[in-house]
Amino acid sequence: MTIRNNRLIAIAIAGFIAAIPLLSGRTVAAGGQTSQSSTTQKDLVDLQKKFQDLTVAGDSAGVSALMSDEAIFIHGNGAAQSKAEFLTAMATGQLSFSMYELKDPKVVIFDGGAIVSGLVDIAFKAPAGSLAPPRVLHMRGSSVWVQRPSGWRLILDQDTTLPAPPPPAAAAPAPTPPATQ
Amino acid sequence: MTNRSRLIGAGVIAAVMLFAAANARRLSAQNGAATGPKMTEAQMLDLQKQFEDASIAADAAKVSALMSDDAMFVHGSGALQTKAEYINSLTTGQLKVSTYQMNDGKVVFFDGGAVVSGPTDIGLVLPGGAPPRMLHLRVSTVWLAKPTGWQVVLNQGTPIAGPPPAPAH
Repeated sequence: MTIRNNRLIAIAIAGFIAAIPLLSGRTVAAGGQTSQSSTTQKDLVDLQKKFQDLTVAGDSAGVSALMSDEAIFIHGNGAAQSKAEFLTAMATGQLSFSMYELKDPKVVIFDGGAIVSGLVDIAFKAPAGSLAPPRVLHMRGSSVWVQRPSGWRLILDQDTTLPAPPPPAAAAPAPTPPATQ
Repeated sequence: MTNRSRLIGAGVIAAVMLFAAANARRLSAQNGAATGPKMTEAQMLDLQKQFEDASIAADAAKVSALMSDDAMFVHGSGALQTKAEYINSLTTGQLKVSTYQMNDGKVVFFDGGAVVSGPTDIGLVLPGGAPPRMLHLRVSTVWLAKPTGWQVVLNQGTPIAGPPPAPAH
């Protein structure tokens, strides 16, 4: 073996080592967000808040950028919308939020994605001229985020309406109802 | 051919293979295709049915094998259960399921997993021999391809408002 051959082998090994992250898919394209290994629960809660704030602002472009093209949005009444339908509803004012907040978030991070779930308060804007207070819904919402080369994208958002709290007069202790499907 | 030529040739081939593999993975991720164990939509729907049937049978071992340890189960009431709580409610009879059937399920694959979602009929057995309470929910189940097999990491149901659609004739 000559010195030149040794140098070629060293270059080949260096090239292979450099390519390992590319093959493992853990690098993120320029302009993307943090790689999964460094994404914390707080990062994901912040990402969720960004999505909610953009939705309240009616920022269709911002919301679109955070949603996967095949995303499913399931509302508290069980209605399912595609990404295009959700954005259209926002753009036409059919869906106009005045509040979209997440409380007590739980984050499950998995290889390639994460779930952010918690208690969600949503309020809809009252129609123009209406003096009625905004309708507030209390739900349990789960958002599934997946990591794409271009950044994190929402692939599923599902809300389930929580039962209304009992009226004050009926606030006496009652047996805990069993969890139901 | 000299040793040097052989080395250069091998290096070029290795570089081309690395580039092709990296590109294939990137394109696959962009298309949202699973790069783990390959599954078809039909296989995912079959997996979903296995989970539903195991829940009806209160088969704790089967349900456990199909759920990730950190799974979240959100019922139509909004109640949240862990894997242990869900299995416990099945085995103690607190939750007795007589029907659990997804209709017209849709599958969305992502890198390393899939979402299975669709209208779902669920029958709950009530005490005292009363007829089961039928619920019509939209259920979404998030499945992950783990080294030990596909497992549920999230199952969430949302009641569908209004009467169920009349059966097609």
